[in-house]
Amino acid sequence: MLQTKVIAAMNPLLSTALPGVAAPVLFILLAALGLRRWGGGRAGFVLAGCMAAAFFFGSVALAGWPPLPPVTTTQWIGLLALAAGVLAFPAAAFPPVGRWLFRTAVIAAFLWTAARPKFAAAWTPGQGVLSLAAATVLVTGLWGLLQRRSRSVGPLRFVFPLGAGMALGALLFFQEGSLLLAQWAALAALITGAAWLGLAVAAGKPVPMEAPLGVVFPVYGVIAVNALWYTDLPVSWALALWAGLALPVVIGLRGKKL
Amino acid sequence: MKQLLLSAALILAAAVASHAETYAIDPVHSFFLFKVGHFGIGNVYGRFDDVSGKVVFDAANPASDIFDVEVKTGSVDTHNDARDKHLRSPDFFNAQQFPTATFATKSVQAVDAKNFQVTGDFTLNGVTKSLTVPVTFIGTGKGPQGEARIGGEARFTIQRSDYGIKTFLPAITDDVELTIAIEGILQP
Repeated sequence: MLQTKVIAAMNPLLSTALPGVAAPVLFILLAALGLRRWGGGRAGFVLAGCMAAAFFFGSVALAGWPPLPPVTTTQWIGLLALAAGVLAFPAAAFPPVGRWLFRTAVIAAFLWTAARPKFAAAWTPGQGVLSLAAATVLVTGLWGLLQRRSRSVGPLRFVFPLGAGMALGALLFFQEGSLLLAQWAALAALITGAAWLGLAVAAGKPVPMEAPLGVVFPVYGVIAVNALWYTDLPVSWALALWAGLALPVVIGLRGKKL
Repeated sequence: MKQLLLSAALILAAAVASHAETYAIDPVHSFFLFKVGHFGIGNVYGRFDDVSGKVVFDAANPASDIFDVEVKTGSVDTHNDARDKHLRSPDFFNAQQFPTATFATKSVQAVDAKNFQVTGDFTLNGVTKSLTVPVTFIGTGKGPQGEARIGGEARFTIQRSDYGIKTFLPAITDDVELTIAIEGILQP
């Protein structure tokens, strides 16, 4: 019974998403395979840029070009991915404390694009600041924890748990919220998985994960808060979503370098 | 001849109501319905349960008439909870970001005593487009409490992609037929 329900849920998601997802995922897989041979910080930045571009063009394939300026908060997501790809470069120039502040500022700014309608219509200023701050701390905290572990734990430690956590989010959004957000969460999860898979299977020099994670977390964070704030996602599911995202952090903390 | 008929109709209408009267839309007897094609197989019908707005009607001077309608997008009802939840999401009506859809009159042109071409701004999912819709005046009369009422109806088609609603295109048709059937209660 449960199996039937899961298959029934997956079918429309996959059939609608596949055309827009296959090309970006293949592109990232090939890019990661190539960049692994190059290695080093520059390879990380190029990979981050490729991931941002892949997400943007994948989102365009799934939902069309966003109007400029975007009207809805979901129309911002593809553009924010491009911005995240560009912002990965200046982030590297900061010292460690500065990077934390920079990450927090980026996440707060990205989540602000999703929060604006809530500030305008639903929240009091106090509620809005609190909600935005809580979401910013949560996403930045997960990003920072995973970032730290990515230096000491090999990419294979992350590819499945991170992809699984994000894919869980995609399923939740589909079942309880929005097909659009589910497709984009799935796209982000698959692009992330393809990047790590490419890096894991190719022989070559290490590629730092800082810049690619600088694309993954802001983009997925914006998708997740859009689902939490603008769909009928129950609180219990929302907690499960964040638990899913925390999974790679927990596994990473227990993991050894592979 | 056409002008003569129009003039006659306007004079007749002026006998019924010779000055602008403001009516509040009665949510109990007003309906905002939509119909959309489903996979080329059939049609799905839905409605918004929360309808409000006002009608200003002056039979002697139709150009000054107003038909302003507002629906709460979160009140969408297609007789299926899961579908309604999806329709409220950012995929369709985006009800939490854009809680209302509105039609605001900009100008009215009388075709005859019963029919009007109403041009107004239709706003849905944060996008506003100017539309000209045919409005048919149905009648006036007294309600059960003795209150004066007026009734009318508009039927028109929009393309949902114009309003940024593209989910499931083309399986769910781009054309959406809308029916706005309103009864207004005369305001003192």
